[in-house]
Amino acid sequence: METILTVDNISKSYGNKHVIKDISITLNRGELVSILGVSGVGKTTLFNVLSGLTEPDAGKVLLYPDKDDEDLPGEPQNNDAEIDITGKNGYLSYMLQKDLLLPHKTVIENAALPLLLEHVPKKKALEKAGKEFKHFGLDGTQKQYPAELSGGMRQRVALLRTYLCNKEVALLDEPFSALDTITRSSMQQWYLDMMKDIKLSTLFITHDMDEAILLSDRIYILKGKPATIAEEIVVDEEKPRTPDFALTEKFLSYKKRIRTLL
Amino acid sequence: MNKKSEKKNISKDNRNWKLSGVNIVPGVVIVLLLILWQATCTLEWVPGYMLPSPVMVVMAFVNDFSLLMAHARVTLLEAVLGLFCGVLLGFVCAVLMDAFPIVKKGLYPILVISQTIPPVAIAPLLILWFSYGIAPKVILVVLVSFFPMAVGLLDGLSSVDEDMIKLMHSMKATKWQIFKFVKFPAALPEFFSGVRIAVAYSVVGAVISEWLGGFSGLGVYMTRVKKSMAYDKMFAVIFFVSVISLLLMALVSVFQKKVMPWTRRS
Repeated sequence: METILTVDNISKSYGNKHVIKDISITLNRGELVSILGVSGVGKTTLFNVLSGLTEPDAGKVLLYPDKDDEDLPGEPQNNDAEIDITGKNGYLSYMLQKDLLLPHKTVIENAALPLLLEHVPKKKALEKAGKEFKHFGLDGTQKQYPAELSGGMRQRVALLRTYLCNKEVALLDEPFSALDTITRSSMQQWYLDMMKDIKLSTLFITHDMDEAILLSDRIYILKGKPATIAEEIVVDEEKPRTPDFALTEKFLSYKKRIRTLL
Repeated sequence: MNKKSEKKNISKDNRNWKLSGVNIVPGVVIVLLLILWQATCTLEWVPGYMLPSPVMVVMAFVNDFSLLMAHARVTLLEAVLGLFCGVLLGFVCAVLMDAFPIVKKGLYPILVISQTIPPVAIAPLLILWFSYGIAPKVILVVLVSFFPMAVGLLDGLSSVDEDMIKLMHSMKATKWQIFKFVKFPAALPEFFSGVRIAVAYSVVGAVISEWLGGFSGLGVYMTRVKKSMAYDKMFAVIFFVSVISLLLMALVSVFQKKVMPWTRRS
């Protein structure tokens, strides 16, 4: 399998508090990899480093982009096509825990935000965003304001916005954790369906074991103070998966294993 | 279910924007007070030369209508000119203070201290420096309307969710884009509250500076009727000034609804 992102021995501390230590992760093209850990373990710090919002104390983040991808910012790449993106933002799309929709923009304008920020003409940007509305189950909401949508719908808009950032790797920070249990499970199912068509390489933060097993190809367990990778688990189950997977023996055995690790 | 409750939230927000003037309860209270006032005068609980009755006040207003309008034109001109400059200056200051922490550190305390100086105290100085025309009045209005504007907008600009700024950075947004897409729209409610307060201050500021010297304006009219002991006219002009302020504030609210359509949906 072809690697798209390598996280190499990242450490980060604030003051004399070590938050994460020697974190190494690889992400392959088209994979969904979860980072599972209890709340406050340092998952978000890790993502802030990966997205380039904060500089790590040590370690590197390397991106191996598609050779004919023109959408990458910065200087033209050389042919070995390995970019050191440590501490640089704009290379990965990042979806934070909250939906963070702009209340004064309509739903479609919110979704098109990354395009508008890249100075795509407004008409073209809205057109491009509009094409995806059906696919994301948002048809009919284009002209509404975010306050008129339910939590699940708002999260879909945020996901669509992340998708329209058009980066090769998406970082999703607990995208479904703010939703109620019923909405969450329907969103997970929707997400599984979505992923049949979209082969987005995704790093996914969660503190929910079921969610991690259901959605991921691999799971990294983050644990301790400072947090380190305690274990890597491969979820060996064909994709596309159905929610029924969560009812199988196999699923439970994964869950047992993770529970003992956490 | 979820959608329903969200809709309720919106209408709740909407209620905040509504003018309190249209409410029925304060209307009833005002009418009762007017009746009580009229009764006090008609039954001569208080001598007529000390407290004119509401009917007398209305008569005074009608009789002096054209004169009042001529004076009001001057006062309004001063207030609007000063308000415009004050709002603009306050806007620029707030944006600079928000963008550059060093500016905020240097400027903010001075702004607060400046507000402890009563406008009445500087008005004579302004007249000394800029003579009796409209210039000193406009400057005083700028001084009083600038502060609520600057502070209100600054609060609004810094109230933005840190995570939203983080998201914008992750999308490589420039400082200007963050201002345009996130900060300014988020600060609009505070911006308009600031303008509303500045409007009220500006009319009062113009009147006060006219008291202390000038040739025309509602403040000048006030000092003249006071000297001739015409208290009915005094009351008439006082009410007239507050009606002008209220109308201007209502105008700001109407404009706000136009500019912020997302708070309007029900």
